[in-house]
Amino acid sequence: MEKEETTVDTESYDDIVLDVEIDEAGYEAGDPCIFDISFQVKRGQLLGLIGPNGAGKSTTIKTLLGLLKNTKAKVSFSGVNKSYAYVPEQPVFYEDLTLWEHLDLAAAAYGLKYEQFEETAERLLKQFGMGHVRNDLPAGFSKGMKQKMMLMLGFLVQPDVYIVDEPFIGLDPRATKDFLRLLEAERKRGAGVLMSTHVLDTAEKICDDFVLISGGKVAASGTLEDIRDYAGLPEASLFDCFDELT
Amino acid sequence: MSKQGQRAFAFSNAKQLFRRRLFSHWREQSAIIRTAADWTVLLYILIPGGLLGGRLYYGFWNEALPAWSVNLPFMLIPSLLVLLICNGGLVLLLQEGDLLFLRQRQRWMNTILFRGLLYSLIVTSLKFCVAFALLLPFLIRGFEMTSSEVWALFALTLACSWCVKLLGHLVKVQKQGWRRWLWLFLAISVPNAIYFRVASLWNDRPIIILLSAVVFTVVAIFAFRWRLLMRGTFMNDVREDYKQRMKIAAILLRHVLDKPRPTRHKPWIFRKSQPLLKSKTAESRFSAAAIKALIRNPAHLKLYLAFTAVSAVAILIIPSGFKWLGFVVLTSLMTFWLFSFWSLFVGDDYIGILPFTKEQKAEAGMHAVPILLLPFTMITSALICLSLYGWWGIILFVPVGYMVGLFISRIFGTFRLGKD
Repeated sequence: MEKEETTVDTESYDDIVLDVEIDEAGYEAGDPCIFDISFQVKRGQLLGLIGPNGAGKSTTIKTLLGLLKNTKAKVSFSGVNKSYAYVPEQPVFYEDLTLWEHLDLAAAAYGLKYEQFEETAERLLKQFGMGHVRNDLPAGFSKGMKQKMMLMLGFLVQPDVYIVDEPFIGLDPRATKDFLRLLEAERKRGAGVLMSTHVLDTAEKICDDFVLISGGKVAASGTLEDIRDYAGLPEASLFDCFDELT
Repeated sequence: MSKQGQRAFAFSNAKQLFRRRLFSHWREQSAIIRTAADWTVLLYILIPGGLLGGRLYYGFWNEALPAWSVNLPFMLIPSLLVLLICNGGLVLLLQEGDLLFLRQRQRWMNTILFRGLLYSLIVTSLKFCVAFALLLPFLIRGFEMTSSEVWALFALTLACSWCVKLLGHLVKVQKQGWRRWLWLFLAISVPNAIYFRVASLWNDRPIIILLSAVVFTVVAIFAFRWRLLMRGTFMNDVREDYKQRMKIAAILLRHVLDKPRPTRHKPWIFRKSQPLLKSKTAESRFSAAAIKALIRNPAHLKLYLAFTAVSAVAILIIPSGFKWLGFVVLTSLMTFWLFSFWSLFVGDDYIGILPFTKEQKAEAGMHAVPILLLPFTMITSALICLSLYGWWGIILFVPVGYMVGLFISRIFGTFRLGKD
């Protein structure tokens, strides 16, 4: 194990809610997969983490969540509560608890008052169209419904930073729209969002900035204009820039 | 022919494909069996066992039958055969991948289905040949059946087993939920009941046996044809096939791995997600979730109830002087298991992503385990108090059960959760 440092700053400087500096990280000691990846997420900012399959997006997310042993990185969470919500690509749930009980348990863990939890959970159930399955077991849910459940768990606790891994996989257009609307509301509240995705046309519309990873390194970063400059393709879509740079 | 030089399809027809699948199925089954019965097992158990069995069998034919077999009622034979009839199913050798291409070739599918059904019925027949060969000394020498009577019983058994296998299969691939169990009960119990009744007439009216065998065969032929004509059951066919193919593996692994649980949509208890505990603190909500999880999990609940039942019997048969000691030991065992369940619950992936502190987890565990323990201590203490102190026991068992449960769980909690 090299060195890993995941800290929560005692004071928030500027508007930064997540500061990531990864020198190197990997699954096996002495065999790093990602190198020199640095970025910051600010209050209200939506940062898109994009890149081809195997580029290192998931490894980056695992590193900043402190899930990898062999890392040489500095990750700082700031903000009002110094909290984050992770929405994984693969839904995680307990087979013997209902959707409502999952939400209840998450709210309890994040220290939400029961009355506040009830109000927020009811609103989220309505917004995601999951009210009819509130007392059902998630094992019987479709893939999209499981994904919605994970998003609801994230939105329930209203953290300073959202770390969302491939949120659009399995979501129908209605749910995608609802998700984006909620994300927008959370950004207005001041939450920062780091979103890893392959859905480039949606990312192009909603992300403020991008970090494009290729071969375990940052291939380009900044606004869409910056990415276009890197790719040498003015007026090009993010998809074309992606194709050029990866 | 080298791969480069190959100029023909690997499977130019469905028969070749079926043959390939059959060989692959045999290889798969033999590989599964070899995981349990390797050469060492074969050398030290199966070969001596086979030799000993062979010697015993020779003795059944050429020496006096064992004393225990002389007074056996004849109906024990059909009873054993009924157990064998109910056991096993059909293997069609269909695979999930057939969805991609093969399902578009209905003739290929029909050939595989037809041969799969035929293969399964042949395997069933061979199984009964072996069973009858083993029972033959008792049938002929013990019950003094003539060869025609034995043949008639064999034909009846075979026809009934084909019938049950095919009807059972038709139900399994078409019905779901409680309807499946109802129809399955009918498909298995009705032919077996007829078989059982008819088999008892072997001595008085052997012709009835043959007639019934013909009726069973006709039903089996109809079921066979129906199966071939059936459409829209592909996914269920594959699922049932997989279950049958994995049967030996499931038997070998039943003490090692938990049985996969069927997907459930609604919990069987606390169906409205109602709060279980009055307190709304994070720890209480965490405890309530664990209590619900244990009660809703069939394997955990079964274990809890089974241990409670065994403990109740043990308490009743333990001599009076040792009842309280037994109570403490059994309560400790139950507490140990409940804390193990708690560790399993807390270690789950979902709980893992929630930021509960170590203190909150310990607090919730110390809350959940005594609640789960109380029904056990109440039942066992009631049995002890009533058996030892008569009517006074009614007053005693509640405080005793409560105090002992609380005390023992607190001691275990201190060690397991580092909480006092």
